[in-house]
Amino acid sequence: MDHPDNAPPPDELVEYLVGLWREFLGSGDGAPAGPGTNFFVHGGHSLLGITLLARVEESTGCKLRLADLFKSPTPERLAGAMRAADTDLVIPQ
Amino acid sequence: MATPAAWHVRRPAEGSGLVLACDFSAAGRPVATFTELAELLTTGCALWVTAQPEPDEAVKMTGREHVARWAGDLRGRGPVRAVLGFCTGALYAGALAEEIARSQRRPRLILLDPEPARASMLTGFYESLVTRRFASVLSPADAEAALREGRRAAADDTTGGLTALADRLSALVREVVEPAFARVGLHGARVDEFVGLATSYLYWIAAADSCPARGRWATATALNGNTEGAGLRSFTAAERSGLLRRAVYLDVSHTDLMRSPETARLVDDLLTDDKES
Repeated sequence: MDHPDNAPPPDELVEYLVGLWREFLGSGDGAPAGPGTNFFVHGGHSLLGITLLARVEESTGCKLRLADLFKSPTPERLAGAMRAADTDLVIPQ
Repeated sequence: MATPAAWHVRRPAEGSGLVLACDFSAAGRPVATFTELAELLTTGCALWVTAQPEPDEAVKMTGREHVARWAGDLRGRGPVRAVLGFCTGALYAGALAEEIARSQRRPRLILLDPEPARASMLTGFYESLVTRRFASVLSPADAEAALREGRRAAADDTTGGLTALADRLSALVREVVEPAFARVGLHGARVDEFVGLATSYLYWIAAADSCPARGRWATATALNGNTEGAGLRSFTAAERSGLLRRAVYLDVSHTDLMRSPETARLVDDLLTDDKES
């Protein structure tokens, strides 16, 4: 299927993670979280992070450690790490 | 060649030389990291950042043992061009540069907001867990009790140094974390993971205290932010005297120091200036 203006097709996993980022971080003082928002720069901390990862595991079956979130702190990068770690991901709709 | 176990490769081999960076890289915090600095550097070089050992190993390690672990993973990997260190990581950087200089030309030493290890860092970390991280899951009475225990731990026998304080605070962290996590439905492995991370950080600072700055930083250039009480600003004038080869002060906060283009430009200049070493 073609997409307008040659935009890449929507990535459902990234969109799901962006939703979690917005739920956990709120809008803060700036724009709502997007695919490139760094969790820890926008108000996230290790307790929030571990709670977010528990939610991700519950929803997708993918078990991630905090170290994964430190290394991949944006929705886009965490989605890449999840795909590299688990080929049987369930992507919540 | 095998992937190093004691290092995170933040930039693969590119151009000549290997640059090493010492920092507690497994920390979820807004403070910019070497990953962000690596993205701004234009010098062709590989950049590796220290990787933490597993928490049950970290609690037993001295500063010298951390340095030996990192240095042991460098054999046969080519000359090291520079060693960088951030905050208390600067203490490890000085010790690592000295160790590397036994087998090659002394690498350049570049320190970013270098700080000594102090008891207040350990107690401050514990108090921030209680008052900020866990503020939403601890009752005011539980939080006050946890703070009281932290103050008691800090006031207890101080002859054991920072490692003894890390022992006491680590035990308190578990006492705080287990019931707090249970209230938000987190148990078992998630508790162990969080406690392990917090414990590793406490012992990282404590072990850094065994790596003296004076003498080892004599060839270093320090790039400092403008945050009061951070970096070189945390030393007294007497402590700073003769400590470093050169100090540069930038108009950027401690938090943003490693995501500042100005910092990256200065680091690039230092990495490519062969006259200064």
